[in-house]
Amino acid sequence: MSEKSPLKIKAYTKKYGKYRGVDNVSFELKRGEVFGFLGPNGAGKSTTIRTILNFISPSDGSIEVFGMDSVKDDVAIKHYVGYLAGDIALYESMTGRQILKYLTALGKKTDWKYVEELADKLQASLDRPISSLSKGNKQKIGLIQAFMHKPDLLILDEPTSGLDPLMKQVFYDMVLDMKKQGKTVFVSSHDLAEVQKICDKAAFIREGKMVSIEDLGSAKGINLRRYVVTFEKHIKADSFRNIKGVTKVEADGSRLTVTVQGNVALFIAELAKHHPIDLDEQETSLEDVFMHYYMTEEEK
Amino acid sequence: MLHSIFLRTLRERRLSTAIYCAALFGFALMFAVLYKEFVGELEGVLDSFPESMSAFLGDLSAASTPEGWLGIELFGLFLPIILAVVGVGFGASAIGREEDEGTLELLLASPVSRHKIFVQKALAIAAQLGLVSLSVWLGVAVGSMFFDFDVSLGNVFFACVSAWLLGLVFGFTALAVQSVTGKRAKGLGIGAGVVVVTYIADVVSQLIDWLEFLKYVSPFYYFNELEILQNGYNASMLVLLAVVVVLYVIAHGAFVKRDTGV
Repeated sequence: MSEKSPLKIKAYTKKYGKYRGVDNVSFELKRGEVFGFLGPNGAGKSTTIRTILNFISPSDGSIEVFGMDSVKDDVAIKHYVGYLAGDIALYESMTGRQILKYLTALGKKTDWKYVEELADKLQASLDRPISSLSKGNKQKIGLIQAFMHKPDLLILDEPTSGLDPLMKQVFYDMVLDMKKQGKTVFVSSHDLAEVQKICDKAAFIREGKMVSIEDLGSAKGINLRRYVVTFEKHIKADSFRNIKGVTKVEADGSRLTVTVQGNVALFIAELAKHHPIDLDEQETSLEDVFMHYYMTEEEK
Repeated sequence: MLHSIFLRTLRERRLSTAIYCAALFGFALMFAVLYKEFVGELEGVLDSFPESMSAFLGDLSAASTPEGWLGIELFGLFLPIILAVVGVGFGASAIGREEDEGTLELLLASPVSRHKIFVQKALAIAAQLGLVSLSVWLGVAVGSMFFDFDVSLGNVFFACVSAWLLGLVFGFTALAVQSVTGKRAKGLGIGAGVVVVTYIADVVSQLIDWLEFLKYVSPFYYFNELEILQNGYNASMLVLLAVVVVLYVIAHGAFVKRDTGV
């Protein structure tokens, strides 16, 4: 089992009627990896994940988990997988503990000592009815049920939605802890910063199509930065357009928004000539990343 | 535990099931108690009734025996409709509610096959309807024990089984619609529609001669309450059972293959 890829997606396509939900997506995870699945809302992330778990079946292609087919071997696969959706639904009339017991009765091999440990870390209320919990506190129960049997593959669909920054950090620690134990984590997100923080690799998907797979650990990483510069006077975008590394320029009066990839030296040198009064580095948006990929494709 | 989904589904609906059971127990008991009081009054009224009214109320002359009285007052009108409606509610919701609310994913992400999930859900529907039907028999049985109401409890039991099968026909209709479409609302809507249409078909077939053939397409005809209350087991129950089996097979087949939560 250990030499088989935890997750192998081969030419996976899902059509909804005439619409193409996901189109010919392929990638493969290595054991012990934290693999990000990044894309805007509606890109096909959840559709892909729901197919891995056989909630829906592929229109074409196949998905293997530890060498087992997602459709034929769907029950066997569930022994090795922990799953969490960002908008997880739990039984409102039950307490968290009752739900965990129920899932254990359905065949999950729960490590109860670990459950207590996680509940403690997350400050989760296991003994209150789900109906009385906030969205964030429900999400904590969701996290515990995904982790509680220490699965070899964690499949997490936008897991941090609804968690406050402190709890997000606890979650990142939980993921890294799993990685240390040799487990594999597959996590979808539309937040680039989050993926860069915890993932070794990431697949980018947009409008159902694979855009790229990036190694986030190496120097080849995305390394995109976005700057908003304010000048004394009205500024024109033209003089910045042809600088090496600059992928996108927008001018608006005395403000200039520039996206730079890689080395910023040439950009800074040009900037100095125009008397900037303020320079602000902003979080790179996912759109910028995609723009970057489209441009490199066009250049080819 | 293999039956935990079954038990959980029952527990989820324990309040509504208990209310239905208590109401029908009381309802059945009431008719057993009222029999002696009404049977004298009925005899005078019977002759003045137009014949066509018996399409709705059944043959009133039969009401002078305990079996006939139950057949007309309890089993004739209210019970089949109540069981049909309760059945549609249970049938559409057993899986439909979990699918609408998203908790079905908790089950599907666990190492349990869809076959096992479906079997347990269907059995839960059958058990819930069974409890409701059984409480009718209990009401009559208690009535016959403590009041002057001499009825064959064996025949009443078979009539309750027939009512249970009738409820299951409509319950599994709703279940099948939900299983095929994935929509609880469609299960409820189409299920209730089938109850109304087949009930009307049953009434119309008794009123209009050339439409008599319609009775054969209505499950209410095979419910056959008067005959069963008089003579016990009747093969008409097998027709209902066969319909239940066919609907089950359709529903099961659809659920194990369908994309869920779409």
